[in-house]
Amino acid sequence: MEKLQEETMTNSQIPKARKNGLVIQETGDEVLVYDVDSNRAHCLNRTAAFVWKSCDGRRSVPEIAALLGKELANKVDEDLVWLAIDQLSNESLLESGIRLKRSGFSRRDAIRKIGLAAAVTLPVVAMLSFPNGALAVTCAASYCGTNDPGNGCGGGQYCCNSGGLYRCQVAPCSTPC
Amino acid sequence: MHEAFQHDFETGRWSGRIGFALHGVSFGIRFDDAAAGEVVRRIVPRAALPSDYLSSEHRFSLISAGGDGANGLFFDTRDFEPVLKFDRLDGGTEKGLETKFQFALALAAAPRLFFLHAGAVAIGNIGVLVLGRTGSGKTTLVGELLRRGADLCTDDCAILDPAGNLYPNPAPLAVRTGDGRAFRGPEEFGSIAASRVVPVALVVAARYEHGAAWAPEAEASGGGAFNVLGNLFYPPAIREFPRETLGFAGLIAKRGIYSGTRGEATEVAEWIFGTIGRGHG
Repeated sequence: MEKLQEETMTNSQIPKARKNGLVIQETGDEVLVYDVDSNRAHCLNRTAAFVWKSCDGRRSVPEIAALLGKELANKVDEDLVWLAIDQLSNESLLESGIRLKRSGFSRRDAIRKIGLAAAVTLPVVAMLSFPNGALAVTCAASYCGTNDPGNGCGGGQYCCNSGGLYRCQVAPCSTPC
Repeated sequence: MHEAFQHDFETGRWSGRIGFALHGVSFGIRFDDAAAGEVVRRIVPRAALPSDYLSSEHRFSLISAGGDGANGLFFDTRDFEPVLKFDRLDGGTEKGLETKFQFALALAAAPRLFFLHAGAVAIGNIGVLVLGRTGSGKTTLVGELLRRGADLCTDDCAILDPAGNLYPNPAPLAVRTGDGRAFRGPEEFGSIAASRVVPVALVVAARYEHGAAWAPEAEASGGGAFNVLGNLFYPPAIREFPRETLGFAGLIAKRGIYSGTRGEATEVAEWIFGTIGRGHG
């Protein structure tokens, strides 16, 4: 993941924001997105939200970088846009089938490089996963880590945090609450 | 499953039924013996008002004398989805049943009501939410707010409407002790249970860390909304009402969410009263 494949930019690399199966809520400069298919919510900070909204399937990365620069009244490195695109793509918020790679792009290097300049907030796409589980298999967060009967699992099962989800399991929890 | 329930109902399997309304949403639960009925009366939220079982929007069945594999709480109007199955309805089961019943109520009440995993108090005519996962020190902070004159809305499960109004859902505070939890009513903190609906004007997400000083940061609206989503009392409910849930989270975030680590709860409580006194909200 760190070192992405070397490719030249082609039309297939024009990013396009995914719209289908998403519920979108703008909150100030940031955007909340709920993905109906994956049952996950995302929070895009101002930079990530701007890049995402600019991915209209026509604009290239340099064009998006220029637009973002105007918006933020600062010079914006293309790597910043690639960094956003990388995260948006990982979270399935861009149309699939587009090969969004850039020659020699490395997320770690980009963060180091852009972070040092620090004139613009780095793009962040936070993710929150929700349980699909039926009532019977979920438990109360306040009882996490215990097999207390009050956890709602029944039968002495433990209530454990599984990636932010609270689920019942027979074995003691192996992850912190 | 459905036919069996119907048949049993008609042949008098049920010993009783209770209807109740929770802030405008009506529920009904039937039970198959008198002891189960006593349990039902104890797990119905204290803020509930009596209602008509037969016209209730959401109905449940509690079976405690059904024999092997048949006992449990079932959500009748969701195709008899099991809420909790158990062998015997004893004290331990009752605690779990109460938790799961609240999950089911949260699911059923959405999107007219949203349940958050949060403490909540009313200070004058202003509602304050205290967000936090288990072990974050939520109950300690709520207790400190009560000592300073706030009224208790809830210790653990805040009920709000889509406009951000906070409804009373009082229950004793579950205070951690060396060997478990002790339940203490608001009067033990010199306070009372809130009986009025108040708009939420301030949200605090304070995480306890020994020796930390409270220097909260205002969360950006998206991050704040995300924090609200992360504290949904029954998170799977978002799947059924995503648009309404995101809208609700965004609205609460706009009221002002402040997060940070705290040391002593007294420091945060003082800050909360000071912030409200300065006209926040």
